Parts: sequence; structure tokens; C-alpha cells
Amino acid sequence: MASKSELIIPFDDFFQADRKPAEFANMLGDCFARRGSLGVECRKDAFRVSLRASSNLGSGVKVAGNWRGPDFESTDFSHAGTKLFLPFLFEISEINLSHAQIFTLGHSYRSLADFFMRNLLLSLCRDEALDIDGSGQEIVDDGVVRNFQRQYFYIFKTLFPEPVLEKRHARESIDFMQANAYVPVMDFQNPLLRLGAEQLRATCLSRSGQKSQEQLLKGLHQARQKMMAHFSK
Amino acid sequence: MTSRPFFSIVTVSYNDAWSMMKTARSVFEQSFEDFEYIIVDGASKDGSTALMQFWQAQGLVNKAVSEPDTGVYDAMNKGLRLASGQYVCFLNSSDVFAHSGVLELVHDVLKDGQSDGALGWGELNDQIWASWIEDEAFKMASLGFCHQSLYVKRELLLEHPFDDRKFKTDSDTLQLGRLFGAGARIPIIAEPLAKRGGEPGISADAERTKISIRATLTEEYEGLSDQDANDIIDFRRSCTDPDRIVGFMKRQDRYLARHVAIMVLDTMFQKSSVKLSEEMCDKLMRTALEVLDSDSQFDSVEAVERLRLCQMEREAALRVAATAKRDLDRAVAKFQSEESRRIEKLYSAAVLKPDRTPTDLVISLTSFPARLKTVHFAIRSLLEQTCRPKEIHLWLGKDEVPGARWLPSRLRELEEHGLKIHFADRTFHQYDKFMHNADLNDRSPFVIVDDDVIYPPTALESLYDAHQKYPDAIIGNRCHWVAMDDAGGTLAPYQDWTREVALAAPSERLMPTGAGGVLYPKGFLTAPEVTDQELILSNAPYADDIWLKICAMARGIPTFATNLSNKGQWYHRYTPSMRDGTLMATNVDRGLNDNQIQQCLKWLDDVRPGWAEDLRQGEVA
Repeated sequence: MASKSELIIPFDDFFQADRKPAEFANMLGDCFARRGSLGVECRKDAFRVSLRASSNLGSGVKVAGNWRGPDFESTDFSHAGTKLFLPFLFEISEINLSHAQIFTLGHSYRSLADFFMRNLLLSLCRDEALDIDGSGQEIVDDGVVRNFQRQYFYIFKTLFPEPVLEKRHARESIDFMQANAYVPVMDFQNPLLRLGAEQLRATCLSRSGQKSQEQLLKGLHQARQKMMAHFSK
Repeated sequence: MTSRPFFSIVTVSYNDAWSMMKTARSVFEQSFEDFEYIIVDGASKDGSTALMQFWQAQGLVNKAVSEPDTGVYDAMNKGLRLASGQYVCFLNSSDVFAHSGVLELVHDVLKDGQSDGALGWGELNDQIWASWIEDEAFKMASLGFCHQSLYVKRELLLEHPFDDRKFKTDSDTLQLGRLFGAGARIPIIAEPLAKRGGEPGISADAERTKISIRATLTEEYEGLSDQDANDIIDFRRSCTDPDRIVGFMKRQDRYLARHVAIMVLDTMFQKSSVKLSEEMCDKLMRTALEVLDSDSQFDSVEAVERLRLCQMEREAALRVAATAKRDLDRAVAKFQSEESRRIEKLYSAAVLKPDRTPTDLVISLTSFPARLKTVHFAIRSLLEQTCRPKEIHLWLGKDEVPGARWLPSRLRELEEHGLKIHFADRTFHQYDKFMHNADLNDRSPFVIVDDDVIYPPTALESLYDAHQKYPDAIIGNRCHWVAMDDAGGTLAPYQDWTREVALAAPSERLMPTGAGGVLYPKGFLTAPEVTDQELILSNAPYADDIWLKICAMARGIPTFATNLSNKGQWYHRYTPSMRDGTLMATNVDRGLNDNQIQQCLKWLDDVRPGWAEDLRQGEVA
């Protein structure tokens, strides 16, 4: 029996292993059988998990969402070290994985959020090509997207047990991971992460060096506006 | 040859023993251990020397001096001369490290020996000083600088000591500016490394600070008049007369103009700049950027980008803190409804009745800022008891909680139900529970409780009933069995004591712990040694429970454990997010309890030589 090609998953269910719909296993089986691809998209009220019958093998992992900071572009993530930082710099609301990019099948004790983020992380570790769409995604529920990001962090932290990540709460660590792409606020033990962070900082700095006075001023105004919001509360 | 420690941590203090305890604790808790700890005291009269001796006896403080000095910078220079570490950090009394991994983090940055030092950020009252520039402009006007987060090579600091003239309050920023001016490489670590104490220091004296900074400005910048300096200081503090500041940036003196420009950019991210119009902000920042861009010696793009990124990071940190506060509020609200339901059930099951038995029990507890949002739960549970206490006193230190308007409304509401809230001039931390009102114990039995326990409705009744039966004994709802070593000559380590035991009769072998509530019979706390600060600081600075037990042993007073003292789940502690700042980590994990017990026993040997024999007899009882 063919599985459904689309599942709508309430936000809460998406993050809980015991609420993973039974149909998902069939969908996953079909994905492999038909050499297709699986996608997840955060919509206004729920997550949509969809199966496509075919995948364009050789194309990259597709992610869509919004940049958390203004300074990076798709081309800046050229190797695994930098790619691993992407989910800290880019709030992902959509992921599309071809059957060849699914490495872990989603054990019963793991949620759907875990399934997608774990496979994304493993793809990034394997230096799979990336197709990043950060152009004008509709902002869905910010809290849900951040929970999804936090899921990535938890898996990341298990795979890369960096001491600097042990001392902070998840949200704080994620902010520091983002900051580290701009200024050296963390020192990683893992050479891949160290290299990735250094490269992102170098990219950021070289791009900064090309900025005009007007661009610098605009950046200061934007940063100041955010800061003043704390003081006017 | 003895190798030099990597860090020298120096604490300067004067008549501030109780705040120094907080500072030292944060030093002892560091995960990185290659450092020496030095205390420079200005001949205090408040027991500081006893405390320093206690730490030295434990091997926690490497060097300590107590002698008169001419001020804080004189003392800091003295500490510098005593230091032998490669890098020196000044963490003065009442300041603390931001977390236990600070030295480890700074070591990671400095270990390759390429830098002359490192400068992190600092926190004070939920605000963050976010240093962003590595430039001698620091001496212009304290650019978001926290000296507690600065680590510099000792030799370099000796070449540029603090200006210790008596009126100076900004010698730290001046020193940092001079270090940068001399070409020191001190990279910024964009993370809070220290929290400044809440107590007002010398820099809180606005007029004195103005005099000091004015002297710095007129001495360091040629041609700057007193009036010019005042204008710069006023702008820095409250953004007054911004057009005049624009004028400074257009002066011919490029050195001055550059420093003013950097000061302006920093000020634009401070709270004081909220009042400026968007147009004025744009004018100030535009002028500052032009000044920096025109200086060929200065990489303006790098500096401005660094400012922007650091401020984004600071904003993110403030956001995290705001979120944590909201999360705590939510947790408290959820807990509140659970508590209300629990109390309702107690009334509906007639466990609690409106006409409860009055008692003459005086209850006393203390709290601190991190617990203020939740302490009302503990107090509420003490008001909802099967017997009614005569009084409940909450003691807070003004240096931590300045006054009633800092208190949450749920706590203040309890004043209507008889809670008395007191503000002591200085906090004695956990000793606040009885240091200020021990005299009340002259007339009434005195119950000491903790601020993070929901007491079961029979907790007071249980203490009171046992007190009626054993009026001369100490009564505890949660007691440990004090273990002795195999020879019976002294006490076994704290971790070998049996937890939460009850016996049929009072015994000297029982030690009550505050978590269950402890009743002291009339006259116990009024004995002079109980509240003697010198004795406390030299024997048990971090453990009031142990000190009170030792005082009881000194007078042969036994303890009775109520039947609540068994390994039940009767007391209900708050959720982890609501239990910030617990003492347990220091006392138990670091073995400080054992250190304090051993220290106390030395004192006990003097005042009651036969204590061990009495304790062994307690076993028979």
C-alpha cells in the first residue's frame, strides 16, 4: 500500500518521540523504495512533512529560512567546518533531503525534529553540497523555529562534546556559536570546528573591509536600535 | 626551581569580610587550578584577618597581608608587588568571577604566550560592560571597562602601576589606556568574565569620580581645560550638550579628536543616549566615523565593525538574561498555582484549621537576590502550619537588596500576615538568620529555617511538641548522625555521616540542618560566642549549621530529632531553575564542610577538652 505523500504534524507532536505518527515509517520506506526525497516545512500552524517521488541526485541538501545576521551568503559555506555552523547562523524553517542524504532512520525514541536535524547534521559532516534559500521566507512562529534550531544544537553537542558548550544553557550556547562566526568568543578543541569558525570570521572581516562609511553607519544604527529597545522597556 | 603560577588573583579589601567571602568562594570554585590567590587587606577591624587566617590554614590563600594603606590603588599596587604569577587579575572584595570556568577560558586564550593580556566583559546589576576596542582611548572616559575582567602580564603592570594618588578613582582605566598606548597586545574576550559587587565602591561617588577623571583628561590631553573635561564627562554620563562634543571631534588635535570619537561611539550604545534624537545620534556617529576614517594610523572599518558585532553580542546576552527572567516568572507562576492547590487541600482536609494553636516560637530566615522571587513560597508554608508562630522575621542585607521597593509584591503581601522584613546594613549571608536578632531568643524559643523549602504543615508543631518534651535540647526536623573516626578521637569526614536519622531521645551525636527547621531553646543564641564574628570567620565562615552545632557541643547541649527526620520526601524543594545560588556546591563538593569542622574542633578543644568522650556517650544514648 502506498503511503501518504504529506503529513501535517502539530508543533508539539513534531518535537516528541512518542507522538511521531505511525504513517511516517511508511513514508520513509516509500522514500527509499522510490529513490525520492523527504522534506519538512514549518508552516504557520504545524509542520508539513512531504514525500517527493523522485530526487535529483547530486543536488545539495536544501534548506530554507532566514539569516540571523546580515553578513553571510550561501557561498560562504564551502566546507564541512563552516557548514556545521550554518544552523546557528540561519534559522531553518525548511529542509529537503534526498534518500541518499538520509543516514539515520528515526528510531522510535527519537522525534521527527530529531530525525531531520540529525540527518542534516550528518550531511553537513559529510560535506554534502548545500542549497540555501534565505530569500524572503515568511516568518513563521519564531519560538517553534528556535526549538527546531535547539534540536540541532543538542545533537551537535553530543557529536562534538566541546567543554565550552558544557557551561551554558542551550539558548546562550547557540548565541555564542553565532557570535563566534564574527568574533572569537570560543575556543574549540575540535580542529574542524576551529577551522570553520576561523574561516567564517575571515570572511566576515574581509567583507567588512569593503564597507563604505554609509554601510558602516547603517550597521551601527541597526545595532543601536536593538540595544535601545532594552533600555526603553 | 619553583615554577610561576599562570595567574595571580589579587583581592583588595577593607572592612569587608563578609563580602570577601563571596569573592573568595568564586575563586575557590575555579576549575583551572594553576593560580595563586593573594589578599591585601587594609588593616580591617571587622574580623577580616581571622577569615584570611582561616583560608590560609586551608591552603586556599597563598599570600595575605593586613596593614594600613593609602587607598585602593595603593593596595592594588601592593598586591601587584606580591604577585608572582605570569598574569595578574584584580578581583576586589564583593566582585566575583562570572562562572567557574573563567580562568580556564582565559588560560586558553593566553596559553600560547602571544598576548600581553586579555580583557573580558563585566556585569553589574544585569547590565554588561562590553569592551570592544583595543586602544589607548580607554583613558578618555572609562569605555565600558571592568578591571575585574582584565588579565595582564605582571611585568607589564609593574612598568605601568596604578596611579595611587589619594583622590584617584579611575586609575584602572588610565592604566589600561597607557598599556595600549605602550603597544600592549590585549585582545578582547567578548563574554562577561566577572560580576562586579553591588556595593557602591569608590567610583560610585560621582563628584569624586569627576574630579579624578578631570585630572586624567587635563593631564593626558594637552590643551584640554577643566571646562572641556567637564563637558566630556557630562556627555559621557548623561549625553548633555552633544553639539559641543561634535565640536571636539572637529578640533585640529587629531589625537584628542580620535579618542573623543571612540568615546562618542561607545556612548551611543549606553542607556544615557536614549534621550538623544535620531538626528543627533546620526550626526554624532557620522562625525565620529569621519574622524576615524581620516586617521591614517587607525583601521576605522575594523574598529567600527568590531563595535557593531560586540554590541550585537551584548544585545544577545541581554536578551538571554531577559528570557531567563521570563522563564523564572513562568516557573514561579506555575508553582504558585500548585502551592495554592496544596494549601487549599490542607484546609479542605482539615489538616489546617482557622483556630490554630498559638505558640511563642520566633522564626527567622534570610534570603538573597537570586531567591527573592521564590522566598515567599517558603514563608507562606510557614504561615500555613498546624500551630501558629509568634513572629516570622526575614533578614536581608542592604548591600544586596537596598530596600523594600526591590521586593516582589508577593513577598511584601506577606507583611499583612505578620511577616517582619528587616534590612541589615551589611549581609552576613547565611548567618543573617540569627546574627541580628539573637536577643529574641532570650524570651522565646527560636526557629531557624531555610528560604528554599516548602515546609510541611506539621513542621512547626513537630518542633514545638518535641520542645515541650525536651525544653533544654535543640530540636531538628532533619538531623544527621555525626560519625566519629575508628579511634573515636575525632569526627569522620562529613560525607560519612548518616543522613536524616531519628532517635528516641536527645543525643549529642545528632546535628540538625537548617533545611528541616531547627528550634533553639531559650538562651542558646544569646551566648556571646554564638554571634562572635571573629570566631565565626576564623572557624566556619560558610557553615552556620556547623557553627551552631559546635556551639551546642561547647555547652553539652544535645539535639533531638523529630520523627520527621527520616529519609522521607516530606520537604519539597523548588525546581532547579528556582534554586539559584545554593551554598551546597561550595560546602559539600569542595570538602569545605570538613575544613570548617576541623577548624571548629580546634576551638572546641580549648573550650571543652572532653567533647569527644561526650560524643561517644551520645552514641550510647
